[in-house]
Amino acid sequence: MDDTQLMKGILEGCVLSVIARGETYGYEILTEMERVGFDDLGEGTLYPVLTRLDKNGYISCRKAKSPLGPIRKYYTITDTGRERLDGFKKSYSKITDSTNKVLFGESNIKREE
Amino acid sequence: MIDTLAMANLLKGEYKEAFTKIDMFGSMGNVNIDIYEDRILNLYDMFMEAQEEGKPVEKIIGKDIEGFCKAYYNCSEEKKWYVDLAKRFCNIMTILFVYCLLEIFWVREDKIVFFEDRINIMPIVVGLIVGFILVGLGKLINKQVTFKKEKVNPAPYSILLLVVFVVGVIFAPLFKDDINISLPLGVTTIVSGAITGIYLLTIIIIKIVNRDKNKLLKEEKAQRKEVLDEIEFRAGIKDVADGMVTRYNKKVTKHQKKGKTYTYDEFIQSIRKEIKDEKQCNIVVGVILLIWAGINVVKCFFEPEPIPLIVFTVILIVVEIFIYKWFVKFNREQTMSYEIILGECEKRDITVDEYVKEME
Repeated sequence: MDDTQLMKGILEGCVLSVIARGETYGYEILTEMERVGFDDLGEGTLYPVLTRLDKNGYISCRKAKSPLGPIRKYYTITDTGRERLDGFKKSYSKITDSTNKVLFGESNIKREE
Repeated sequence: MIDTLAMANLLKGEYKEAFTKIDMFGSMGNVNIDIYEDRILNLYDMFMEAQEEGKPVEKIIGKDIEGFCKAYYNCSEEKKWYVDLAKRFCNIMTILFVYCLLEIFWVREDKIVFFEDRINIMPIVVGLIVGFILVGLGKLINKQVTFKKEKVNPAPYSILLLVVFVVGVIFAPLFKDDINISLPLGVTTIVSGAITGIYLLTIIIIKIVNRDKNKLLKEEKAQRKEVLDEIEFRAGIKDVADGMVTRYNKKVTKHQKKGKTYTYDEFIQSIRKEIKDEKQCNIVVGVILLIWAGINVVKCFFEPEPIPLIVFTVILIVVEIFIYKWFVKFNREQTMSYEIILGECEKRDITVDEYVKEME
């Protein structure tokens, strides 16, 4: 089963949650996501997510010189972004509760069989 | 335009190869230039950091580099295609308007009848065709070359695109009299002029409305230029160091063929002498250019019809000033690079060859 759609749904919320911890930048977000288990997340997937979050006003971006020389974009969550994150966490908790009940708990269908 | 070659030169191994391919895809794939520059700089920063940490490049771009490029440069969320198309149409109208004005005020010696005469727009049409060919060629190169080979060198393909552009621009006007694609002069001038006027007015209004944002953008651009100049300088040092090693090896071989020896110390002495001679070199070039300009100035006084010669002399002096400034700058950068390299090598007690190997 292709998990791409599943990833698409949760990626924005996860990235927003990482940014909510404090001002950060692309590579740091990628490293943190990898650390928690999102091994296959690359910059090609992350950058469009960051662009969307910025466009929707959930994060703000400032450019500064990086220690290694090139210009770096630093991201911070906005108030709108915090509201969005709270909403995502509520929705995610509700969905995972229900999904866990279906997948791992007792189901009515199985009892009838 | 940012110097991505200098940036690539500061990356190593798989990072350098991946960066070159991603850069080639962006520069030849008809990606909007602002998006391309923004993305490539962002990626470069990530690559530098990941390279420092010894991570495989796959961790940043995944296994499918072509898929990464398509996703990474995808600009459909940022720029509307019709805005891009409208901009290009307005640019073409501006070129057409300028072309009409040149035709009216410069080319035509005999009196024109504005609403009856026609204008041959063949060079503009050829320019558009050359543009389409360049875009098509760029896409073809990306499809057949960029991701097919393990290592790519963008230089020959960039040269190919440049040659196509130059040939198109140079040869198009030569066929102006043979191929006639004509439009009514008056109507074309008025329509293209009106569209150009509205376009310029829109740009001015947008600039006024966004002046705070533009100020921020200007500061960002200045900051970016400073950083890119630094990168270019560091890459330049690497190139100069490479050049020094090549020169040394050639001199050793040359001396060996004559049955003589050439030591490393002799080579360093010759470089130090070049550093000392920098100022003298600038003076010699300056004097030569001055003499050349001076001869033409003197000729003006003896010419029966001096106006064309005066115009030529003024243009010559302006060109010479640019040439001299470029020469002094190039010499200075070369000398500074030598000083930095020799300084580093002396400080760490290593040879230039060892210095180059460390940079790779």
